[in-house]
Amino acid sequence: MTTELDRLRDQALADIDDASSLAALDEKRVALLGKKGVITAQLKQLGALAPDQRKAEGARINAVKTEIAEAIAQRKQTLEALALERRLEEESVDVTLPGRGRRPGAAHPITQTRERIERLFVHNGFEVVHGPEIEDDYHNFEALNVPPDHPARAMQDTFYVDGARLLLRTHTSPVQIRTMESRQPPIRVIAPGRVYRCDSDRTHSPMFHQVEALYVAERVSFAELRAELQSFLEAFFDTELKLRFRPSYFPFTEPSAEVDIDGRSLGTGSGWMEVLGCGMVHPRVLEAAGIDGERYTGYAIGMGVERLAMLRHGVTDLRQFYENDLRFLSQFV
Amino acid sequence: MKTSEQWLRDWVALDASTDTVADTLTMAGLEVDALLDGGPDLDGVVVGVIQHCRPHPQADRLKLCRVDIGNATPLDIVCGAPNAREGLHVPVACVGATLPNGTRIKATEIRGEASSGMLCSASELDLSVDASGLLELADSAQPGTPLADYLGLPDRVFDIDLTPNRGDCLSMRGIARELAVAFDKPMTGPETDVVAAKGNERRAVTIEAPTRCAGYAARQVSDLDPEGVTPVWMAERLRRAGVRRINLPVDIGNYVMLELGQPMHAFDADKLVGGIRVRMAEEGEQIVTLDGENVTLSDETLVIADDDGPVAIAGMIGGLRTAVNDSTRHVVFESACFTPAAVAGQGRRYKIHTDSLHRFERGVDPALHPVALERATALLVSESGGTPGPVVHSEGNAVWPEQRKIRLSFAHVARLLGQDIDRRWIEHALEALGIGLQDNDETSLVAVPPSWRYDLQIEADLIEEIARVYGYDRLKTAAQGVSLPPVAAAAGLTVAQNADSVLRQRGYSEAITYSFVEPGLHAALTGGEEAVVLDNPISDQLVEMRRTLWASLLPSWAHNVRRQQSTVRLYERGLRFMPDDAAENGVGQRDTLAGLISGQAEPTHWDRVARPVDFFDIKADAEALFSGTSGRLTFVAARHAALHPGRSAEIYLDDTPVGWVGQLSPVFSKRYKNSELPYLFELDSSALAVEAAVRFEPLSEQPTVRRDLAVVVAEKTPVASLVGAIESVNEAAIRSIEVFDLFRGEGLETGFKSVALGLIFQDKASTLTDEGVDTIITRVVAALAEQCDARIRGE
Repeated sequence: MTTELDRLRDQALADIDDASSLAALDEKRVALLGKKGVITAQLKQLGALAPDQRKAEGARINAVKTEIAEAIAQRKQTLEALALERRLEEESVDVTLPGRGRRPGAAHPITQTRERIERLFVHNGFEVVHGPEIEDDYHNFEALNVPPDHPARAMQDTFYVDGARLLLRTHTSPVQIRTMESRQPPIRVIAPGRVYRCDSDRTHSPMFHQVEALYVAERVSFAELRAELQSFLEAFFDTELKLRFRPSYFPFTEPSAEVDIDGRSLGTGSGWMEVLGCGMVHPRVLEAAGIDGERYTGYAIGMGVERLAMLRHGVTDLRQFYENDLRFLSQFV
Repeated sequence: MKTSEQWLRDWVALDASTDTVADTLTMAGLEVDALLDGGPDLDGVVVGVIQHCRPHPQADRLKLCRVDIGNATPLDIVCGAPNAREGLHVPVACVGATLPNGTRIKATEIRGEASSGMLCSASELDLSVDASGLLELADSAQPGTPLADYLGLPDRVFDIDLTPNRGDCLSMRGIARELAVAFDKPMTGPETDVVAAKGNERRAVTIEAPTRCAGYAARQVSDLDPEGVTPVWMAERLRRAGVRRINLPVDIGNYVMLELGQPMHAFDADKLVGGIRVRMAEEGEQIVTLDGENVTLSDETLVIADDDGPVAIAGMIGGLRTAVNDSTRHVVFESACFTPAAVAGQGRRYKIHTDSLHRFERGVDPALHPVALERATALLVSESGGTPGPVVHSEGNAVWPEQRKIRLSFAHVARLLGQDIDRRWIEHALEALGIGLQDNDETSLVAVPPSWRYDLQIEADLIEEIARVYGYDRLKTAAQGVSLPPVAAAAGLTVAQNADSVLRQRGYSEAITYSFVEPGLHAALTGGEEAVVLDNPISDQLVEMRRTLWASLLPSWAHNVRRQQSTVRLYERGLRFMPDDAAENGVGQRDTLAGLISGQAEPTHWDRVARPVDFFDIKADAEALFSGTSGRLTFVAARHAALHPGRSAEIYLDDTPVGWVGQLSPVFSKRYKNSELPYLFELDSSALAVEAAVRFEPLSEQPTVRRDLAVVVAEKTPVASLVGAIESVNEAAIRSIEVFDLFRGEGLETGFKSVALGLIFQDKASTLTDEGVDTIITRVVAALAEQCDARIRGE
C-alpha cells in the first residue's frame, strides 16, 4: 500500500508539471482531488483499515493531498503568468507609427507679437480698446494737433476715401482721441490694430500694425514714461537692454522722443536700432478731447508691431507677413 | 539737409571728433541719418599757375604750358583745354597722382612734346559735371598748395533728417546755432553788413495780400560783369550741400538760403516790366515756371507779378519769362517772408516741391529777409562788380510768428519731466537758445522765443527745449505706483482669443491679408454690392475696402495652392467695410471672422482612407466656434453670390443672421483652374460673444433611456425639420436627439431617404417607465407624420 501511494504521488506531480494550459490543469485537479479523484478514493479506503493503522495512514494520505494541492496552485500561477505574457505580446503595437488626426495650425506671427505686447501692458493695468479703421480727418489728424496742410502730414502718406471726406487711419492714435472723448482720467489704455499708409516696398507695407499706449492721470511724467518703456521692452525681448531716448517730433506729443535699442544689448550687432516713438501728450490734444490739461498730464507710446516681430523672429522681408504662405506660417506654431 | 562739417566748424570752434559732433546733433533732435564723404581724394593734385602758354607745334588744339607748382623747377605740361592761358591758377595732377576716375598720371610725351602732369577740369576731379575747361582757381591760390587744402578737403557731410517743426535748422546757421548751444560755445557767422547803394535803379514793391507776406525786400544790382563766375569756394559748398549750379546770381541766392535759411529769388531786371506786386493770382491766370511747366493758377495762390502778369509763384518757384541767364546784365533780388499759411497746400496743388517752398512751409524767420538781401548783394558785387541800387522794403501786416510771451512755471517743468531742474540752469539754457526772459519771479518766468522759432508756442514746447538741452539721456527714469481698478477683458477680446484657439486646434493657420482688394473678384463675391473705394489706391489690385474677408483670403489660398500645398486651412480676423447711412461717417465697419478649407479632411494616415473636405467639415468648424454661445444655432439653405447654390447656408443665431458657410461657387472655376474649390465660412465676430456667466443646471440622478427611430421621408425634407417636429412635442423628458444614420437605396422608393434618430430620455424627478416613454414616442411619431410626412421605416 505504501508503495502505491508513493507511486500515485509521483505520477500526480509529474502530470501537474505537464499540464500546459489552465484547462488541462483543472482537469488534472478534478482527477486527483475531485469527489471521484484518486486521492479522494484513497481516503475513502481508510475505513477498511484497523483503527491503529487508520490514523497513521490517514495522515500520510493527507500530507500527499496537501502536497498535490500546492503543486496545482503553483502550476496555476505559472500558467496564468504565461497566458498574460502571451496576451500582452499579441496586443502590442508599433509605437513608432505616426499618430492619428490633425496637427494644430499657427497663429500669425504678427498676432503673436501683438498679443505679447498686449499681455505685458495689460499686466501693467492697461485696458485694450479698439476703433474704426476708416476714420475722419478730425480724429486722425486735427484732434492730434495736425491741422490741414501741416507739414507733418507729409510724414504720413494717407489713403483717402470718398473724395477725401474720409481716410484710412494712418496710426492708431485716433483711438486715443476717441477714448479720451468718452471718459475722464485716470485713463490707461492700449489701442492695437491695422493702420494704412500709401507706400509699398521692401521696408514699407501699405497696411501694417501699431499698438498705441496712452496714460493720462495726475502727475504723469516723462520719467515714468521712460520707466514704463524700459520695463516693457526688457520684458518683450526678455533681456536687459540699453535704451536711448532721442529728441524727436510728433505733433501730438511734447516733449517727443524716439527710442533706440543698443544693438549690442539685443545681440544684433553694434548701432542703435529705432523701435518706437513716444512723448508727453500735447496739451492741445488733451484740450481737444475735453481733458483739463492744467490738472492732468499723460504720455503716449506708438510702436510698429511688424518692427518688433521682425526683431524678435529674425524676419527680414516685411512682405512675407502678408503672403500667408503656409510654409512661413507653419514655422510659428 | 546735407551739412558740411568743415563749414560748421568754421562757425563754431569745436574740439570734438566727427562722431561726437554727429551724436550730439542726433541727441539734440537733429538726427544724423548718414555720414557722407565731402569730396574726392585729391592726393597729388596741387595748385599751379600757368607761366607760359604757347601752341603745340604738331597739334592745333593742344597747348604747351609751363606751370609753377611752387617748386624751383616748373613743369611742362601739354593741355587741350580752351581756357588754358597765362596767369591762370589751375589744379595740377602731378606725376604719380591717381585721379578719382582711376587714371594714373605718368610722365609722357604727347606728339613729341614732354608732358609731366595734367591740368584738370572740375569734372576730372569729380567736383562737378563741368568738363568745358580747366577749373579756374582764385588768383590768391598759392602755387604748390595741395588742392585738397585749398578746397577744404577732406570734409564730411552730415545728412540730417530734420523733423517738420525745425524749419529754423534748414540752414547752416540754424544747425551751427544748435551745436553752439550743445557745446556751450560761441558762434560766428557771415558778414552781413549793409551794402550802401551806389546806383538808384529801384522797383516799387506793393504788397496787396498783407496777411500772407510779412515783408518783401527787393534790390537791383546793375551792370554785372559778364565774366563773373561762381567762385570755387562757393561752388564747393553748394556741391557738398547737394545743390546744382546754375549761374552766378542764382548760385548766390541758393548759397544765402543754405547759409542763413532765407530763400531768395533773382529776376532779370530787363525782363521785369514795371513794379513788383505781391498779390493773389486771378483764377485761371497762367505762368510758365523755370522748369518750363505751364501752370494754371488758382485764386487761392499768392504770386509775385509785374505789369505783365505773374513772374513767380510766391515762395515756390520763379517764372521763365523773367529768369536770369548767362547774358543777364541787371538783376533784381527778391528776399521776402511769406507766411506758412500763404504757401500751405500749394505744393500739393501744383505738384511742385522746391527747397524754397520746403522752408516757407515750415516758417522762415521774418527778421531775416533784409539781412539776407545785404548778404546776397555783397556776394554778387564782390564776384561780378555790379552796382547795387537802393533796397526797397515793404512790410505786410502778417506778424508771424507773432510776438509770443509764454509763462513757464518751474513746478510744471518738474511735473512733466518727473524731476527738479535748477532754475539758473534753465535760464541759461533758454537764453542760449536765443529765448528772451522777462518777469522772473520765484515760481515762474516769461519767455519770449526768438523770431526764428515758429515751433515754440506753449509752455510744453519750452519744457521740451529744456529737456533737449539738458540731454534726454541725463533725465531720470522713475516708475510710479499706479493704482487703477482691474478691468474685465472686453467681450470682443475673449471672443477673438477663443475663436483663434478653436480654429487653430482644428488645423487652421491664421492669415493677415490687406483690407483693400481687387474690384473684379470683390464684385463677383458680393454680387456687385456697393463698396467703399479708395481715392488713391496703391495699385489697381488694391482698390476697394473689402465687404467680405473672402476677397483677400481667396488670393492667399490660391497662392498656397500654386505652391503645391495639397491641404489649406486659413482663417482671418478683421473688419469688413460697407456703405451704411446708419453708421458713423456713413461706413459700417464690422468685426468679422472668416476661414476656408480645401484638400484632405485629415492628414494622410497609414490606416485611414484619405477623404476630401466637404460641407460638413466646415459646418462642424463653424458650429465649434459657436459652442460657447447661448442662442439657438440654425443653418438655413440660402443663396449667396460667392457660394455653390446647393452647398451653402446662412447661419442664424436665434433669429439673427450671423454669417454664411458653403463651397465657393463653380462660377469661380475659371479663375482658379485645376483646383478643388474651397469651402468657406464668414461670421460676425460679435455673434460669438459669450454672454455673462454660465448658469449651472443641477445634474439629474435619474437614469437615461434611449430609443431609436428610423423614419422615411422625402429626399427634399431637411433633417432639421424632423428634429423640429420632435421638439414641437414639447416634452421635457426628451433630453437630446441625435441623427446617427442616413440611408438611401435598396428597400426605399426613389426620392425617399431613411433617417435614423436616437432619442435620449431622462426625467428630472423620477425614473421613466417603458409605458411613459412609449406614450411620448407615439406623440413623436404622430408629429413626424403630420409635419414631415414621415413614416416609421418598415411600417
